[in-house]
Amino acid sequence: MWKKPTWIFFTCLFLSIHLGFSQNDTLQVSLRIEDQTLEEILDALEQKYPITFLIASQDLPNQTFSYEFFQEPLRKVIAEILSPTEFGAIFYRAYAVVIGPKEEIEQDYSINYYSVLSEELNNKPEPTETQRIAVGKLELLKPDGRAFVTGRVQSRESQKVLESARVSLLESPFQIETNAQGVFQVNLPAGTHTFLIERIGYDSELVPVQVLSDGVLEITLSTKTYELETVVVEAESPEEILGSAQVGITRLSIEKIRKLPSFLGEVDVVRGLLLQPGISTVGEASNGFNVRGGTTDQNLTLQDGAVLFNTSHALGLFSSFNSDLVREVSLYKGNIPAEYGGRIASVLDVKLKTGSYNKWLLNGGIGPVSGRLSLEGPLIKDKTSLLLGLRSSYSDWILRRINNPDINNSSAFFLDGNLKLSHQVNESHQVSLSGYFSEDDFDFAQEFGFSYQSTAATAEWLGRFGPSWRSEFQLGFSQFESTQRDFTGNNASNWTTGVDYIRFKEKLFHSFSEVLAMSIGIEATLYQIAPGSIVPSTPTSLVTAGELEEVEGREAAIFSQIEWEPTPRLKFLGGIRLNSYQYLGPKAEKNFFLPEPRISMNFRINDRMALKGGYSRTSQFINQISQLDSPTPTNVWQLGNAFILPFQAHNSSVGLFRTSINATWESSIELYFRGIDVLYDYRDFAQLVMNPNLEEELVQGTGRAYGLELSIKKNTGSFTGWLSYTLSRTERSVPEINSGDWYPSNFDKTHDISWVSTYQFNRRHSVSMNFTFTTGRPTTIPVGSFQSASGLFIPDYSLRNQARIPDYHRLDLSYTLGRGYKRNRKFDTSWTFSLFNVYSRRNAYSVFFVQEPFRRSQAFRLSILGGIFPALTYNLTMR
Amino acid sequence: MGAFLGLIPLGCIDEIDLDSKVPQESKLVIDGQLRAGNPSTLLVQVSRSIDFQETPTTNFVGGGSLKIMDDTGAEESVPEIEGGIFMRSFDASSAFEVRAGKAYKMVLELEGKVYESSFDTLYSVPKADSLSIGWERREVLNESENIIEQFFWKVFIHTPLVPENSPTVPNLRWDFTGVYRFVETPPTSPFVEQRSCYVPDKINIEEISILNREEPTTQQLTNYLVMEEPITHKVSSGYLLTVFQQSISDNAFQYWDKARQVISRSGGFLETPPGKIRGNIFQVDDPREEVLGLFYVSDVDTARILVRARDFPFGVLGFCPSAPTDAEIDETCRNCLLWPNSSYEQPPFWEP
Repeated sequence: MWKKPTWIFFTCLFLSIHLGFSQNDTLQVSLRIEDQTLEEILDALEQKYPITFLIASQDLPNQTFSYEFFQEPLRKVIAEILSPTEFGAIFYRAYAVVIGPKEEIEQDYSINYYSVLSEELNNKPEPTETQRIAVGKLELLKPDGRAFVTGRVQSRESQKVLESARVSLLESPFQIETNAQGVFQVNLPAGTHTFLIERIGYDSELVPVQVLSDGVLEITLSTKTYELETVVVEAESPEEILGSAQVGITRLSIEKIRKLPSFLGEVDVVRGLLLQPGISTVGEASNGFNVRGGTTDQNLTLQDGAVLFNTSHALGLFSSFNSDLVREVSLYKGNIPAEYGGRIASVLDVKLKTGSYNKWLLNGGIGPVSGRLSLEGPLIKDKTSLLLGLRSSYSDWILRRINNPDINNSSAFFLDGNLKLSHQVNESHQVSLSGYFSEDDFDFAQEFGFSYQSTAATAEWLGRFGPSWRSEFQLGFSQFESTQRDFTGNNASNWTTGVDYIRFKEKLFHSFSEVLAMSIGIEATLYQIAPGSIVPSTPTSLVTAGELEEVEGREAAIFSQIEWEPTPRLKFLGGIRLNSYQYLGPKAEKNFFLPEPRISMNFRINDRMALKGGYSRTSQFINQISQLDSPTPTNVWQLGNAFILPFQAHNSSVGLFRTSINATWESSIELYFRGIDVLYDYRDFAQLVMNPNLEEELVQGTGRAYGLELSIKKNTGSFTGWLSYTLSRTERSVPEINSGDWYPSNFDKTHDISWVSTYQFNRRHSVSMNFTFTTGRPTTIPVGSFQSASGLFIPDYSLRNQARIPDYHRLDLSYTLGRGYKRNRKFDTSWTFSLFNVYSRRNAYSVFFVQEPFRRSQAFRLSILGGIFPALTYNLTMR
Repeated sequence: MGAFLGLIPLGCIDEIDLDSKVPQESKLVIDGQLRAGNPSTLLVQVSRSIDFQETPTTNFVGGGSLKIMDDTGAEESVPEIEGGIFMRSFDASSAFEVRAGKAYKMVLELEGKVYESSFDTLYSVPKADSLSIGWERREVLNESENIIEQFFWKVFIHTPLVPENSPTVPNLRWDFTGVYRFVETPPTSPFVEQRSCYVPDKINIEEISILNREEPTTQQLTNYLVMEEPITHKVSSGYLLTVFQQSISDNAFQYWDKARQVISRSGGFLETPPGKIRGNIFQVDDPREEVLGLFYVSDVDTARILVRARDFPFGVLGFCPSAPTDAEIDETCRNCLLWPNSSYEQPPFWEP
């Protein structure tokens, strides 16, 4: 009975009228039924007569019925069978009957709707994944038979989005240009259309598209002529996966992240990244993330070009990105393009959406700990758009209900907001202003507290000059300030640190020919760091007010990158970044000149397989100084100087990538090695707060990280997901620590497995799960103890990081009830129910030992999220 | 600050068996203190460290010979009064002078090896002006994880930071001992006297109370919190607290500061990682041998305060019923000498 594909079944939920007389009215049926369910009855009719039932619900009643019909019209039989139920029927031509809830079968449907439905029923009785070269899905087709297509045009070679590409429909006078993000939107009748995409410097493309419903159309243009291709829905094309010479890049769709089980209902970009190979974190509620053995401060985090010094709220429980506003997340974990600098491990580039130029949209959501609201729309239609987002927590009510006096006397709060104005100056130029602020504030049991704030703003101008020149100009600043407060005791004080950052960047791109393109640019950055100021916060505090002198440094870089495709199977991406860094004081000025060559290549073995490899040199001039297991946002940032040298790393990786036809399946294996020439670790019991001579607490060494990353993904179909595995080591060697022997870093995790699956039952219902396993991270434990002459037992600790905390594993589930079948054109709503840590494993954040008098010592584990966390989130979109 | 972790809902701490063990050999421990006074006393213990998960005990190592030396070259041998325990007193008439401004070290010969400490300088200690008592009510979790109210008594010290006879401000360390009065239940017979016993108490032994000489900006410490304990029956009939204010060198301060960090760990976000605590004792022929313990010298001033129930604005119940009763009660309430370590001897300085 359920042989029809799900996508067909659910189309009928949108049907609301009868077609009137049709041939199936003449069909006479005879049937005898005893104690059979509705499903069984319909099945029996299907077996006996040339009729197809399209069932538009998973919830047919289980009750049984008994009937006897003899040569009765089919319409009458069906009406009688359904009469005791909540279901109704629509008769479609001679061969189809759609069964669905009665209340859903009340809408008007356009001729075009039935035209598309008919075409699909006649021509594609059993669609397969490989046939899905269409935009949208038939079951999502709206009653008016129209569809809203959002297209994005990219360069096939560079993967860069192409703005100002002209998009036309051959069948109509419609014509539009892509915006700065390479995006265009068109509302058109469902059916077959031919798009003509034109862009100076690229071959024009004629793209036949089967539009079934609202959806996304990805189009790539090539600098050389090749056959029509490009229409892919719900998956990156094989070209995107295999065609780029860029190595070690992870791109995440926000839609995929949104479907993942979330912690307390918060859709979280960083948690989505942690499920990718090579990316890990120290533990629950740890600030930031570690990429291929890098520390959290070795990741450059950009949001619309603005540098963020903190990527989390609530000390790492939630990420600081508002998922409603995020368009694309790219993480360069291998070979970082030459245009990026200043960090040795990775670049996380988060692009926000551009507000719609033609309609207003209101988005919102409410979860157990936070709510969010965003608004976008045209300030001047087709010229100027606004994007506004706000997110705030209200978690105190939860804290009040927890049976712990310290917790219910605590408070936690976070807030973030985004504002983006985009303006199309003319066909060739676009400007945008983007602003961001975030604030965290929490107090613990009136004993101590934290607050930290980020502010960032970027002005961007994108221009096109002639057929082959493009320019990108960015001017931005960001500011981060944190305060740590002790409310009581002899050390009651407020300690504040901060970092300011002003940055200018200009990049020019020129396409010489079909196989050769080059970008060149300049970037300048001014760093200003307030290492700390402290004031006593009570009259009895012994803390002396003081302030460390502000520290300054500046960095200038010239960069260039060339993309060259000497043969159809071979592609090179080579670049160099010349860094000049100057430490400006207060101690002795110091200059550094650090060239960074970067090269990668792609050898296309065949249409489905590519071998990629690359090498890059990276350096870093600003570090976050921390001796904690996981740095907190309140840890001080430190500029490289004569005593604390800039970090430098060699990064290399090689990988084999394979896809199936239409990229339904995708697999890869990558090997990487990172050697770090200069890094610093802390001395035991280092004093890092308000210390004007931090270098005395740090010791210089080298580091290495190497590993193997395996990944297999299924990108399309009802069942999607991925399995990733990382085998890695991250080690350090410092002469003053562990006798100079290699020892594991705090975040060294030998095995890291992530399994993510989503099953989309239909448009409305989906379930997701993810399972994570990692080896326990290294820790330092006591190995002995002794009694002092005063009677105190003192533990004797091992060498650094010689033991490991217990392994970590966790299962999360979520169920999403998507937009209703009743297509209300003003509102879309959805519910997400998630279970975080389903089997309530008490994963250890840390392990510590307690020795009570006259008792053997005992190991204790501290679990941050040691129970199951259910959450229900409501989402709303209003047009 | 470790308690910060409680901020996270459902965050929890529980016991585990940690499989990850690091093999370690037992190490020699040499730990001692020279306390200036009249008389000055030297106590040095020689032992071996134990596995951390063994029940705490001290494996003394006897058979060594110990000398104390000062920076002028004067030296005295110190007798081993018990296996691994060396003790000696030096009074004013002793040839070996213990006074502020001089530095001292110890040398131990054991099993054919020579262990030696670095010199530790003796600084004068300022004399404490007074002690005062305060109290605080807090909500805490009991063993059944229910929120209960608990009252704590706190001890504040008022002291100059500059000693009378020296301009040098020393680091300070405070140690504590206590004696409390244990009162029997009044007898039902008027002809039987109600008795009280006095019980020495180990107090605050798991805490290290120290002050960095660079921390205060004034020359006087006022209302400086040095200790706190839950209020129990021990203070119901009087608790004589003795506070030893000691001067310690920078080297000793750093040692005890590190020891304080490693003995009070709670695994929290903001807790700095533990590390090895290096003392000032090394083997002369093989400095790479890891020797645990510290030898340090202190000048000591003693301050006392008698804590009574009336110091608190609420009643403090004693261990025993306060009215005569024939009911079955703990036998120590009929005979206080049955209470561990108790005696009828009223300690000196007990002010009724």
